[in-house]
Amino acid sequence: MVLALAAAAIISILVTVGIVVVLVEEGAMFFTNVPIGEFFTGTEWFPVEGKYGVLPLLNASILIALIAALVAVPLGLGSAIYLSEYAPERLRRVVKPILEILAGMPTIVLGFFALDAVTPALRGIIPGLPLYNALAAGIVVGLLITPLISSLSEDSMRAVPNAMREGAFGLGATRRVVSLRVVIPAALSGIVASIVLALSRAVGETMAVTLAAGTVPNLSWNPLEGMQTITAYIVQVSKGEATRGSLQYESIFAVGLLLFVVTLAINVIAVRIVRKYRTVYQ
Amino acid sequence: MTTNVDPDKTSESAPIEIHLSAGAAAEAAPSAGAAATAAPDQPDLGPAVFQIRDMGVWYGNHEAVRGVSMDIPQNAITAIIGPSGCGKSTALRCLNRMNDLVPGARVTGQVLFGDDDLLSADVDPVDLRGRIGMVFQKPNPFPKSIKDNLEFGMKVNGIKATAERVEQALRDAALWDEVKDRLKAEAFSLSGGQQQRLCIARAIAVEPEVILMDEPCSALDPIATLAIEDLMKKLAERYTLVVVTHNMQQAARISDFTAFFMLGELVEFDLTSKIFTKPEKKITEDYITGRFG
Amino acid sequence: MSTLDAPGTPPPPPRSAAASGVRPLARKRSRPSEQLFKWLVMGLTAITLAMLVWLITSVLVRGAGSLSWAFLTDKPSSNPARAGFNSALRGSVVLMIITLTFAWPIGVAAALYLEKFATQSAAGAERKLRERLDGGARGVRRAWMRGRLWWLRVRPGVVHMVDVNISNLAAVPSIIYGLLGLAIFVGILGISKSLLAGGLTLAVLILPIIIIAAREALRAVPVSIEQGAMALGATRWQAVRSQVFPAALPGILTGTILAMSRAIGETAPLIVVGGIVFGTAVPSLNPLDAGNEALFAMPLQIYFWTDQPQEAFQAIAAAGIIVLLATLLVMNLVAIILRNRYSKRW
Repeated sequence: MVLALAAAAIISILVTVGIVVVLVEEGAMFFTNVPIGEFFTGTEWFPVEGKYGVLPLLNASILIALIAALVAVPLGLGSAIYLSEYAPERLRRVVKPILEILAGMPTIVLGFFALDAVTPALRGIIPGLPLYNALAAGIVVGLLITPLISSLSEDSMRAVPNAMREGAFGLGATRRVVSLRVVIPAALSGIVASIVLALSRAVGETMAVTLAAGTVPNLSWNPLEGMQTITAYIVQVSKGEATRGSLQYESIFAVGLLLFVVTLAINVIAVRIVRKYRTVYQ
Repeated sequence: MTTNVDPDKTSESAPIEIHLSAGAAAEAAPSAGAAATAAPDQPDLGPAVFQIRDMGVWYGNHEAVRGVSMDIPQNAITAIIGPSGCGKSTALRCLNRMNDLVPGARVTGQVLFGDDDLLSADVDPVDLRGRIGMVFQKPNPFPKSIKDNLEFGMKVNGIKATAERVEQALRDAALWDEVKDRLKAEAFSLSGGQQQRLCIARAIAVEPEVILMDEPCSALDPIATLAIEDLMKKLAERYTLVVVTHNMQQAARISDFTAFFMLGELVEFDLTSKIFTKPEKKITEDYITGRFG
Repeated sequence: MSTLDAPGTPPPPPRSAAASGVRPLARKRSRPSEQLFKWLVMGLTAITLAMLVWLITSVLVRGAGSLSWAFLTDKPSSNPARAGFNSALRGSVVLMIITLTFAWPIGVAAALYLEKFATQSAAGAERKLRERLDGGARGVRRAWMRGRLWWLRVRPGVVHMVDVNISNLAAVPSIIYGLLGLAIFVGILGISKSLLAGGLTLAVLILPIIIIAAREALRAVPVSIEQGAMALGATRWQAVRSQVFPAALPGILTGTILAMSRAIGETAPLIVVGGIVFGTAVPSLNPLDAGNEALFAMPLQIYFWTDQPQEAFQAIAAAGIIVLLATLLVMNLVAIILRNRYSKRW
């Protein structure tokens, strides 16, 4: 019986093996046709003409993730500080689950929201904003990852022993000083890890960026333009009729491999940060 | 100890009443001003830093402290003793308005610090805490370096954080020799007793007038405890100390005055020598001799 | 100086501040930086909540008008006035059945193993094995025993690797699972781009989530319950099966429901595995037919409609979103009720 259970646990390893094998195998087939150098340094992604330089896709994924971070870090950290250090317990018990709703929002809804409400609103401020733009995508992805930062940071902050706060208050510190100069430094590893994890989530996001930023590759740092991320490209090809074994088919595995490696690297960094910089309270 | 106790007055002091009924002596004017009377039932002990009048503390619907009136003498060590849960720490924390930080806590009565009622709503608690320092039961240094721990308080109170001040505070806390070569080391790398002395140094660095201590030695081993007790006696020369302790013998060892609390009320307050040899109330005597507690 | 002074004597002179040399207390002052900071963090929290409110209201405003019974029962159509959500609903139902059927047993079994069997002390078993080996076991039996001894020694390392692996899997972007499903289920196993392929893919996606949730639930059951059963003579397996598992079941179910609510909202992996369905088919609700049915699902349908240029399709996309969110709301409420009703305070 226990053997059967053990088998189940092994399956989880099989899944990872499966992912890696699939991505590497199909990706390898892709790279027999497209040299790795061109893939990583080419600035044009135009499969129809056989151009497979991944920089526009990678750039878009990273830019949108950064915009998302710019939105989510203030909102998430601000909420975390408020809920952990200022809000009365009753209010906290109400607000925290509401924030979790945002975390559980299907990303297709956020994509719709970007097209239906955010971009029109942005167009009111920025005339001439195209329908597809990275800014709206970054904003809604930022909304998506805000609860990640807020929740994990708040947990880290609440884990700071109250005795430490009392010591600071006892010296004549104000609540702002205690929050910023005692609690946050003590909780820093958890806070930074939450931001890194949120970044990883943002890079891997698909539906919101596909709908909001569009499907035209564009190597640019201008958030007011449309661009296609790695994930949006995979969606685009999957919607189409690429036959199995064709270069287009294999290309989605190649970029998928890149995406997998990038998000895995970010996650590993997050774990390292927590382990290395965690404050041990005695 | 520098209070001038008139020996004649003490020897013929009238019997000290137990103050178990609410505020019989609360004749002080409600607004901030000098107390109209001295603390009843208390010998004249010279200048008082705190004049506590009918102080009470409510946590929600629970009355934790009731009707406490006493004068805390300057430049002396006043110990507060009593069985667990009798409200000693709660009462202590009123003196620097730490109870403000507990949601649902309500403090009543008056505590005159000089001429002002420190419980009144228009007193700045932040400033107050810079003048009345506190050392806690479990050492709670910040997860920073030794130097940063000391500089934190100074910066917060607008005192220029110089190396001299850091050194002086550490010397005054009898910690300098042990850490002078490693001021940048993590505070957590110190032993328990050293951490507590660091907390004391941290409190001293902001130049308070009073140091409140809430069972400062209960988390420490006997050797560290002795070191802190010696330190406390030295500190009393410059500061006024109010020390809560559940260790009677410690109170007898170090304090000049002792207040005995029971069930949230002040039972008796007198010279330590008197409380421990010839207390006025039977309850006090029972506690001192270990019949309960 | 006592209250027993004869009545009529004047009260003793007040002690003044001059005697103790204490300077006056500072008056309460407004610290602008304090107020600003408080308003700042409050404001940031409020903005986040406001954005959520904006999101929900804009969806409601857009879609409420298109909600109707007909909407829920009509099949898709190229005419937005007649297009319905029915196929998507059916598809989602079948997907959930398939996903649950595959992910739940495997996930819970894996969690049981990792939490209750793989991490137990092996000292006793090791000792017994060594005794028997020294006592002269031969041939196949000897080989088997040595194999088991080796496994007991490497087991902790393997378990740690599996732990790390599961946490990493939980953080992999969902679209990667789509690629996995495409290559293995559709490519190698030859399943058509159908509800079956979609269900299997989602099962793999939520497997790590279920394992993590089930492990938490098992961990919350006090060890004393398990040890109590074993002290009465039960084997560990018997103790787990009859005592620990039932006690953890509410927690496991709560976690499962939350995992399913994640699966029901997933779009990207389904697009990769199933393509986008333009047809007007109505999938059968029989899960056994899933291999032949085109891949419909609520989020897929919403995406398809959102992608259309016509304004009218945006409205029904919003209506679809309302249905999807309502479904999620119900699922989460059930999970919360379950948790509140059955979680015992140990």
